[in-house]
Amino acid sequence: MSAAVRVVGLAKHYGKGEALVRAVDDVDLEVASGEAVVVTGPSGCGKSTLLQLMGGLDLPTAGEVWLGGRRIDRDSERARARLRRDQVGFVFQDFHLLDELTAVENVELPALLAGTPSRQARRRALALLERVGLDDRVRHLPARLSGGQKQRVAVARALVNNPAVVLADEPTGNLDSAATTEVLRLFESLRADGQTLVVVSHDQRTAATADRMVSMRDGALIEDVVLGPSTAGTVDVLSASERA
Amino acid sequence: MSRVRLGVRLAGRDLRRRATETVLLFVALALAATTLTIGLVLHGQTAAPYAETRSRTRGPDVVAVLFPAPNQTVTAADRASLAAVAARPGVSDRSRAFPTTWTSITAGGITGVAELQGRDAGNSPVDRPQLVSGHWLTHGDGVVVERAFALAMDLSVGDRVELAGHAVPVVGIAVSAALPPYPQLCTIGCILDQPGWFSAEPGLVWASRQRVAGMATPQQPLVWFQYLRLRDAGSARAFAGRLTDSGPPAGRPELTAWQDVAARQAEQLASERTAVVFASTLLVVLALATLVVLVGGRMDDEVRRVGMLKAAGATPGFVTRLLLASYLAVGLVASLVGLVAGRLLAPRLISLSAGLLGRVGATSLSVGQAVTVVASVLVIVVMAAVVPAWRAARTSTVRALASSGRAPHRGGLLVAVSARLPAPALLGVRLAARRPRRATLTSLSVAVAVCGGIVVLYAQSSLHAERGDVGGPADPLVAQLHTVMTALTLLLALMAAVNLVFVTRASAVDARRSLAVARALGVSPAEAATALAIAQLLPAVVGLVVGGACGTVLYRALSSHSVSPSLTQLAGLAVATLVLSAALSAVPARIEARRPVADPLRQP
Ligand SMILES: Nc1ncnc2c1ncn2[C@@H]1O[C@H](COP(=O)(O)OP(=O)(O)OP(=O)(O)O)[C@@H](O)[C@H]1O
Ligand SMILES: [Mg+2]
Repeated sequence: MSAAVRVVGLAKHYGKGEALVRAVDDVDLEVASGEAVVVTGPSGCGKSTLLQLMGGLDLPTAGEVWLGGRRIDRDSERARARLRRDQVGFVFQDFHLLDELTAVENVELPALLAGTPSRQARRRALALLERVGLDDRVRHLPARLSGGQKQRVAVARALVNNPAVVLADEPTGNLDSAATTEVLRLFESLRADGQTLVVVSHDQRTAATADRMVSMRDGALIEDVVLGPSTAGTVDVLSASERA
Repeated sequence: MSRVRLGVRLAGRDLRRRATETVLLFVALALAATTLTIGLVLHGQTAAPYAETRSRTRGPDVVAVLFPAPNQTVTAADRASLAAVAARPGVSDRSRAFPTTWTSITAGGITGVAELQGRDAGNSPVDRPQLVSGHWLTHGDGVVVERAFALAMDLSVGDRVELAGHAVPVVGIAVSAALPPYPQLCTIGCILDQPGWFSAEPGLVWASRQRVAGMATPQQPLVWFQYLRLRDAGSARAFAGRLTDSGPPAGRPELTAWQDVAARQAEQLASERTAVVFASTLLVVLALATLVVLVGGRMDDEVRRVGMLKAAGATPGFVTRLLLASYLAVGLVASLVGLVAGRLLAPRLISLSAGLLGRVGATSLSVGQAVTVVASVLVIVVMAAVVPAWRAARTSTVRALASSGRAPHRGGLLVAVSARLPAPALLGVRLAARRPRRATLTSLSVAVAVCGGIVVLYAQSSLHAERGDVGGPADPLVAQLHTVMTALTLLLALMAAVNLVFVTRASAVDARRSLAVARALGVSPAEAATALAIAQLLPAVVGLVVGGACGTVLYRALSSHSVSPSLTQLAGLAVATLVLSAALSAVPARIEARRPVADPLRQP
């Protein structure tokens, strides 16, 4: 199995002197193609920073970032932008949908940006919206969607260019329990389809959608657990027990 | 009191937090105040210099001119009729009758026509031209030249001029209120019966009686000027009218009242004033447009801040005063800077009417005018502060806190059309469609600037046409109008540029999150910058078209001239506007595009 994402000796420091923050500190991590990894840890331990470095949104202070067999941490911003467009799908905690675009327009946007003919982009966007269960909300503006629906649109958008890896930063952080279930179910089905996933989450239930759980503290990896297949499919069980 | 101190501190922090906006606001207001000051200084320029010149030179109330009958010379009987006028009741004082003729004048390669007036070495009881340099006529053979004419001919004391081929020294340069200065001299009456003099504008030159008498020819016979003072200066028009009414002036003198001479002087100022008033109106409109953009851009931020302060226990009144304080501080400093700048610039722009004593700035800026400038700027600024305060007061604290900005508009058609465009254009069109009000403002500010530019182009080309190829000395009026126009055009362009930077920055800030998302989705910084520039250029094109139409219509309405600027000039203006707005939007666009993507995404 080849690595979809690999980071070696990765570090990201903010500030200097007394105020130096080691947001990410000497992290080695490899995510295999088709693997689903969940990253957990207390607030401020560097999870978001790690994810941004992996996706080429930011550049590390030291270390290497490899994406799909290619080292990207020395690439220009322009080259990394191309790479993000073609290889990475981002999902954010607060969705970051463009408010003035409808659901389908949001989803097709990255495809259009990549130069996909508009008809083809629209077809693909509609198919993805159907896949995330929103075929009846295609022409809704984000303001008329629930939080869970917005996040499902965002996931569809992340998938539209067939990325090598989907990076999600607390995708359920702004959602209530029912909406969380909707989104986690979606991630679970992505994993089942062999989509490479890195998901940052506080939510224990997210682990149910992952093959592996990585824990961080103070910028460093402190634990890396391979989750047994038995945990798969437990989203419903957990949310049901939570409700009880 | 500590609450006052808290207010001041909060206001100061707020201004510093938005340093760029504060600086731009300051520049916009200072420019508006500068133009307003120039406009006001110019406005006060009509009457004062003429009145001052008249009193300092014992200027006449009535000018009597005795022309000979065609192809004849003035006879003794004619002279008697002039003397009779001067002896009429109501006349309190009179000059001698001065022989006058017209002759060619050449100096330093410039050839013109001089109205040569024969004067005595001593002081005349009426009309004593005030010397600006040199001395008055002595018994030697020098001449004294009227100041506006001297400027046009580029003459100073000690130069030699050729009068009909005779070289004579210039011994003095002086100013008089008896006749209108160059180039309006002949509105009182000239005999220019020589080939090539048809369109000449003579200037006044004082020489000895003997020289003038010696210059007279059958084509240019002597004409006699006599200056009268009346017991009641206000009755001058009635005095002149009574004589003119009693029949044609064959052998009888023509009379002109001082008010008509003053009106000639004022005409010269009037066209400059029109230009300045027009330009300052445009500038004030631009300043207002800038402010609207500014306030609009800050509104959501302001509303949220007000919500925060209210949540922390501040009363709406306190919040309003806080907003007012920060705006007023900027407005006050800006208007003072504008006052000083305008006061310094005005005399540099316009060395008004060389033919008069007293110049712009000498009459200076009155306290009332200064108050007008400061008050106008403050009123604008208060309006700018009151709108968000009012909006925030109407918004509940909870809503204000949650305010995620005005909901972006959805331009469905534009969005659909843009799907077929390449990535930067696609984003650009969508960004433009996102904030129609801001796009409208961009169009508006470009339109105002272009409108002004077009009017200036029209005015310049009609000035050019008016000057034609007459040759001779330059018309100082035209030269001054050129200076005024150029300066105003520069101010206008500066203001338009500030405004464009402003609008673009506001759009850039507004688009920050969208662009960050787009970049996370794989748009390169260059593409993001291009998108922002396109979002800016689309409304600029609209503004260009509207402004072009407005400028043409306005000039056609204001002016009787039918001269149009060349196509090249118009095309140049259009290209310059577009290049300027593209270049200006590139700056904030690049700054935004260079920011790390992660930052705007991180902010909730
Ligand atoms: N731009 C920045 N400048 C300075 N420090 C930063 C910056 N971004 C992040 N940090 C610091 O780096 C550390 C890691 O931040 P990061 O956002 O990665 O944490 P996190 O694990 O995602 O936290 P949370 O669970 O609260 O989202 C924090 O201490 C944060 O204060
Ligand atoms: Mg985080």
